[in-house]
Amino acid sequence: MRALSSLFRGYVIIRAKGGRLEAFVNRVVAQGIALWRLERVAPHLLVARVAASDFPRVARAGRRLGVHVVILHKAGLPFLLLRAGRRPAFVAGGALLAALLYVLGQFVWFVRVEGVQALPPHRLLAVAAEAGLRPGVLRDLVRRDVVERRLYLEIPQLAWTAVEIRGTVATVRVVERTELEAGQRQPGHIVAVRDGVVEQAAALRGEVLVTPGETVRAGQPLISGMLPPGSAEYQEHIARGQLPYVRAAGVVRGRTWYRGLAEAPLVRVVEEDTGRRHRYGILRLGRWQLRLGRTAAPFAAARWEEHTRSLAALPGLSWTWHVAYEVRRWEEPVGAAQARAEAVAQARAQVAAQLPAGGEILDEQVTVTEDRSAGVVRAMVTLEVLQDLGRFAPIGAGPDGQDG
Amino acid sequence: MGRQRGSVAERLVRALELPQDIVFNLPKTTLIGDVQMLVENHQGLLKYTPREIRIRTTQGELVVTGSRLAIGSILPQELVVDGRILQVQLHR
Repeated sequence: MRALSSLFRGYVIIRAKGGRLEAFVNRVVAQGIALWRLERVAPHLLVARVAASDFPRVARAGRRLGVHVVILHKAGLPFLLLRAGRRPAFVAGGALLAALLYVLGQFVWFVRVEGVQALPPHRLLAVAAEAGLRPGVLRDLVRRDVVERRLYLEIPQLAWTAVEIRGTVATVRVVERTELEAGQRQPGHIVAVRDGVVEQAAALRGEVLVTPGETVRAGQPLISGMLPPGSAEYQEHIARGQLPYVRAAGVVRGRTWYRGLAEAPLVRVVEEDTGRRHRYGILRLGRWQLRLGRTAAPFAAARWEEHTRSLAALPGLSWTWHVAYEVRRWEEPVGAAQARAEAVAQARAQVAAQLPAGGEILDEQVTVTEDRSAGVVRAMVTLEVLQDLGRFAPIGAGPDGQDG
Repeated sequence: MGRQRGSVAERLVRALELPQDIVFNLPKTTLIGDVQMLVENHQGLLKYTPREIRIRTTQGELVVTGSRLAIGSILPQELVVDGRILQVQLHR
C-alpha cells in the first residue's frame, strides 16, 4: 500500500552519514515520518527511502544531530512528470500517438470472409459493404444483425451467416448450402439416356409419360417436370408467380441394346530374315553429301534400317548407314476356329466398354460371318441389358437436356 | 500506588478480556518464519547493524540477531525487520 502511494506521491532515496544514526532515525520517526527500506551499508552510512514531501524535515533533523543527509535518487510519478515536463515535444508526441491509436481503433479496417467454398468472397464483401460493413467504417455504426440479414436475403446460397467484430477486424462467417440442395431446386424432366423399351416406370415427383413396353428414343422425356395444368399444385405455382415446373424424380428401367463389331483375318503374313544384307552410307557435311554404295538392294523383299552417327564437336557432319535385311514373306492360313474366337473376343471387349454401371445383362447374341473373298471373319456381339433409362435434364438446358 | 493501580487495572483488563497490548502499550511482536519480524508499540531504535538490531520497548530491550538484517519500514508505532532472523531476546 505504501509502495503504491509513495509511487504516486513521489519519494526520495536518501543517504545519511554520521555517528548517531539510530538517534537520527528515532528523531525522524518521532515526528511522524515513515522511513522504509533502511539499509546499514557501513557503520556510519545509512540508506533509506522517505516520502519526498517529508525530506526537508528529515534533513533538518539530521543537521541537528550532525548527520549529513543527501538525496541519492528521486523516484515516483511527480518526478517522472517533472522530467517529462522538460521534454514537452516528447510528451505531446506520446499523447498524440495514444490518441491516434485510440481513434484508429474505433474503425473497422479489415473485413474478412470465412467459410466460403463455391461463392466468390468478393460477392459477400460487396453485399456486406452495401449493408454498412466495409473497411474504414466506424465500429459503432456497424449493425451486425442488419448485415447478417442482408447477406442472408441477397445470397440465397447461404445457409448461415454471422458477423463478428474484434478490434479493427470484422469477420463474416458463412456456411453455404450444399450443392445437392441447390441443384435439387432446379426444375427439369427425366429423359431417356438411350433408345430402349421401358420395363418399369415410377415417379416420385412429376408425371410419368411412358408405359411399360413402350419404345423410347434417346432424349425423350420419361417423367415430366411440368405440372399438369388445372392441378392444385399448378395453381399454387402460378399464384406464387412461379413457373409451373418441378424437379422430376423417379425410376425408369428399360431394356437397351449394345453392339460390338470386330473382324479377324483368315490368313496371316509371316516374315523371316534370310541373313543376307545390303548397305550403303551417306556422309553429310552441311548441304554437301557423299554417297558410298548402291541405294538399291538386290533383294525381292527387304526390311530397311537406318543408323545415323554425328559428332558433337562438328555439328554439320554426320554419317548415315542404310541397311537392308533380306526377308522371305509368305502367307499362312489361320484356322477358321481361331479367327472366329479372335473376332468374337474383340467384339465382346468393344461391347463391355460401352456398358453402363448397374446394368444387368439379359441376353447375348453372337453372329459370325466368314468373308472368304476379303479373307476375314466378322463377329457381331449384341447384348440386351436391363438398365436405368432415366437421366435428369434441367429445363432450359438446351438441346443437350432435351435431345440427349 | 502505581503498582497497586496497575495490578487492579491489569486484573480489570483481564476480567474484561481487553487486548493488553493496546491498553498497556505493550510491545507486540509477530515473527513470520525467520524472514520477517513486525514489532508494534516500539519505543525507538537503539542499535542497527546487519547482524543485530536492538529495539527499545516498554518491557525492555528487544534484541534481534541474524544476518543481512534490514529495516523494512519504521513508523512511530511499528517497525518491520527483514533478513535472516536467528534469535529474538527480551532484555529487561
